[in-house]
Amino acid sequence: MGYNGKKRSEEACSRLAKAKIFISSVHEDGLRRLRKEAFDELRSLGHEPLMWEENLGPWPSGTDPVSKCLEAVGEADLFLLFVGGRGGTYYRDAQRTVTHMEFIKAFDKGIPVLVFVDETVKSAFFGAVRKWMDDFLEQYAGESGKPPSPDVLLKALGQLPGVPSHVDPYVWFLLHDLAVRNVYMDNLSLGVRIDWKTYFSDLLRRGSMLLPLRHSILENGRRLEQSETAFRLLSEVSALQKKPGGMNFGEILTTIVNSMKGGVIEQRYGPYLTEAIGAYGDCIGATLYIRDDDKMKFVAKCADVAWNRSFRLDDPGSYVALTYNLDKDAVHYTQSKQLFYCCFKHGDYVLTLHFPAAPDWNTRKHVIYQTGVNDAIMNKNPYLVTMVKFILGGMRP
Amino acid sequence: MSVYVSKDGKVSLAVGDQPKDALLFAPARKSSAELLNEHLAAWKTSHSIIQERFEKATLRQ
Repeated sequence: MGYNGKKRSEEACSRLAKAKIFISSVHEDGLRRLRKEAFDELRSLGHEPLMWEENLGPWPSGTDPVSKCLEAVGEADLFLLFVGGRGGTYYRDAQRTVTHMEFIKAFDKGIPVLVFVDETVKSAFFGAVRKWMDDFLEQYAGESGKPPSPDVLLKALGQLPGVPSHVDPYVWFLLHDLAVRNVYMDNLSLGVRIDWKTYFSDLLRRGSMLLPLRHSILENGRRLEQSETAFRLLSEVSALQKKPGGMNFGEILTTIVNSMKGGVIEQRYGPYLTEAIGAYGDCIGATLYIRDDDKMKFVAKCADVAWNRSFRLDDPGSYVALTYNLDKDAVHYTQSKQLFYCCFKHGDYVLTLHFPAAPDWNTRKHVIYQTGVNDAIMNKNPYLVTMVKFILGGMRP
Repeated sequence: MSVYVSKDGKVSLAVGDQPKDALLFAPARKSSAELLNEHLAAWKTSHSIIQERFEKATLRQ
């Protein structure tokens, strides 16, 4: 690669964000070398490790170091925790150690956590301590009706026989919390270097598999929001039934109208691009008609919208009659009124929702972008439309 | 999609410029039930892909 090529490549790399990796552990002699090795190797691999003694602290006097540490954890992309035999500084107010609080912060923020536990400590925990703790917690809660405070639990752990004496009781408390949260704990053999390249290759593999799911996850989130809107409508209409005198159509229409929001009319160019070509406002009113022999008879309306006592079924100027005869839902538009009439047919009913069109919408645009209009107004939320039709199905004038 | 126009007491295909008081419309290509079924099927497929991918990604050798 020539000088210019190398420079361009360096510039491109400088625009990429580095992975911030918070290295957490109690300051104990056994872990000092391991922390330093991890810090150096992660930095040599191109990441941005964060560690108190290297590039975080000490902060100027007057700054609360615990708050600053927790702040740094919150900014990290990955959280590494090394657990040996020491519990660390216990903050009585928080009833936790700083290391434990750092872990809680990472877990709460959904930051991926890698935990390494001294293998003798881990073995003792899963061999006997965890079961003892589970039993103790259950017995204590059974007898006193509430879980023990950390102080009570730590005191009991301090008197637990048959466990390695060099391990602080708080370590068992921390490991129990990790286990309850289903956090995987890897073995840590003091004096054996951790193969970070393998760990990060595995993380890269996972990230590469999951990142392409972005579109699916966002789409599912959108569908969830749409069904939530539909469910809310159903709840609101159901609540009307409980009112003295039962439901009335006007109230039902008002509830439906309030759930119909405006939006953007888009032209889609395959899966690649969408262009905003118009807009419409929130629903401003509705009418409901039912077939009665050769005409559509008025049932109810909401808000100040135009209505007739009835329309003849063969009246070509009536969007209600046209929709009934089409036997399909349809969006109608007239430029003179600057309104979209979104008509839903269900059984003998035709429900029309009135939406104001943006001032720049006109007949020419409507003819060209009809698909966009139908998608934006009528097909926007099929869950909501289905719910509206369920409601119409339950109406009996 | 064909767009129709209702004017002067007649319904016809909307071709060329239309008067401001014309009623323009185009019936839905798919019924709301079809649309709902498509949405639900896509949701289900998408969910199973996500689930499968997460299982593979978090698999430990």
